[in-house]
Amino acid sequence: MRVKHLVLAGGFGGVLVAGLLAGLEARRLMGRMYDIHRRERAQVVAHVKTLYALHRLQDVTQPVTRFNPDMRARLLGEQREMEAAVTQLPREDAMHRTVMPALEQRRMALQVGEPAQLQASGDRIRNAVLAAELAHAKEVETGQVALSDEFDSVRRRASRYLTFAILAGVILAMVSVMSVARLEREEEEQQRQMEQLSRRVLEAQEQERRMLSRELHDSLAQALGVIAMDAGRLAKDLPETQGVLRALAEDIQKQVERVLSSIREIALMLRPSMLDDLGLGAAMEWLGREVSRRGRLEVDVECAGIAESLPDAVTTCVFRVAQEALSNAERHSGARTARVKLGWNRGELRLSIEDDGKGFFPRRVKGLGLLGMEERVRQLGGWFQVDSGKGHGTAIHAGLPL
Amino acid sequence: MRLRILLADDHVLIRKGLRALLEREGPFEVCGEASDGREAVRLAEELKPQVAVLDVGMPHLNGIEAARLICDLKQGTAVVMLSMHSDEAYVLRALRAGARGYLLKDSAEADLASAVAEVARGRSYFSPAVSRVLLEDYVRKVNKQGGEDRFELLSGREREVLQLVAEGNSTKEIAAVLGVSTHTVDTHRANVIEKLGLKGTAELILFAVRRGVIH
Repeated sequence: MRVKHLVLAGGFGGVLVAGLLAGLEARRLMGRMYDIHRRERAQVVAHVKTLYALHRLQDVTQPVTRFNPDMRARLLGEQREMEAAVTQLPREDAMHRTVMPALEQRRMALQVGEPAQLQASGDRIRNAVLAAELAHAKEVETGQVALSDEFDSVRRRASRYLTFAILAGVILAMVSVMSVARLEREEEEQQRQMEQLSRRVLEAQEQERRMLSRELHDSLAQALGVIAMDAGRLAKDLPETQGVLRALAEDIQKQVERVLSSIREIALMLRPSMLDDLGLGAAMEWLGREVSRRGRLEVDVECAGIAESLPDAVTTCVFRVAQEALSNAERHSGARTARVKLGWNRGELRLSIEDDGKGFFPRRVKGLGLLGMEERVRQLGGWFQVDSGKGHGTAIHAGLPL
Repeated sequence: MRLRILLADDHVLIRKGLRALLEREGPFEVCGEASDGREAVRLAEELKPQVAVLDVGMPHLNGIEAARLICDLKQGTAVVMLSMHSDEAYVLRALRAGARGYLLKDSAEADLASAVAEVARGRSYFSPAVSRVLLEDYVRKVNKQGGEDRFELLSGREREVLQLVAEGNSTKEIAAVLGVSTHTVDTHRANVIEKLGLKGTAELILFAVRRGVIH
């Protein structure tokens, strides 16, 4: 489990790092392209300006036979303009490097006033300009080639990163989805097992109670019944003169009868034999009367049209839920009256127990009793609902599909 | 002439106790003992006892069903039910099945002999404890529903008929007691059932016990 977590964390980390690297490569490349582009543009602009200034070379290349002062002044002015233009180029620029010496030569020629030298320097400038243009072109070309090589390599690297990121991402996603699905399956399985377990617990409980009840009823109650009968017989058979013994025998009989009736009550609580004897409807009415007889809660039962041949699990569930709900109402709610309704509604058996007690907050207070009721109903595929609030009584509704 | 009685209870000790009780208390003869409902029906058919005392909770066939089958035999066997429940659901079932007596097991010792003697004479008999519980339930119900007691709707003559019917008298006997025709008795009886909103004689007897008309 730990190893798997490490692998997953490492995988997701790798995907993120690969994506980050690809992005950084692309960003670097774009920065480089932008720099190169800006430099090239600045260079081209400077060259165009310089070339425009050197346009005067037309004059320069014309043969000069003699100098007059005016012409000299004009040529010097042009010379200054050209020098200024070239000086503006960066010192390492090829045009600067090659044209500048030629311009200096021409200045000397101008100062000396030697037409032949002037002519030669003009040719030299022109050649230097051409050479510088060619060199520039070559420079641009090699720059482009280098850039495109770099672009290719960056693209290859970025593609590798991206491919890795996508593959790893897909694999991780698959692994994650599979493991989530497995977890869900496991959870469902666990849920099912829990339900099965609690059903078994309830079944076992019900069976145990039935057995206990039968045992109490069959052995203990019968034996006590016989004792009571014998004590009664003894009391009657004793002669009038044995008054003390007679009273004692009667006393024994009464006490045994009291024990007997509480044993019967316990047996009934454990397993309401009226379910077996009377069927669900009559047993529910019996329950209502039984609770009413205790005097704290008056119960009204409505359960017309309930067939007697319902499955045992259903009748037990309905009876136990009603019993528990009424017992809650009687003990905790302070209710004076309660209404139990049992009937058919859209193919399901509907049970409701309503009281006029003080109510409670079902979300906050959900005792074992309520949980037990809900559990019983859910196990038979039914629904269970508690509707209560401080001060407006409690209503419990349940539906069982049949 | 001793009364011939069939005892049915699934516990041999209880049967032994009941037999001893009956044979000591009166001119009774326990002619048969059954340990479940089926055996009780078979023995009743075979022995034709005057009274059958049946426990409600017996295996295979419970006492109430056995009572129904025995009464269906129409051989004059009167049935007394022994039960640990005093609830009207049980009493009504027993009455519908045709039983004339209904005893709580706890008080069988005191009442069994009188119950057997009464039902053998064609009368009804209920344990005082049963009557009390039924009466209390009835009073509580009436109080809850705003005090409407249907018994008040009956005329004097109808109340007499109610009591006589509930006690187990036949129409002819009632007519003789009241000095009227059987036709008149039947009319009164139908009126009682109608006014009380009942469904037949079993409920009529139950009502009479509940209301304290008979004990």
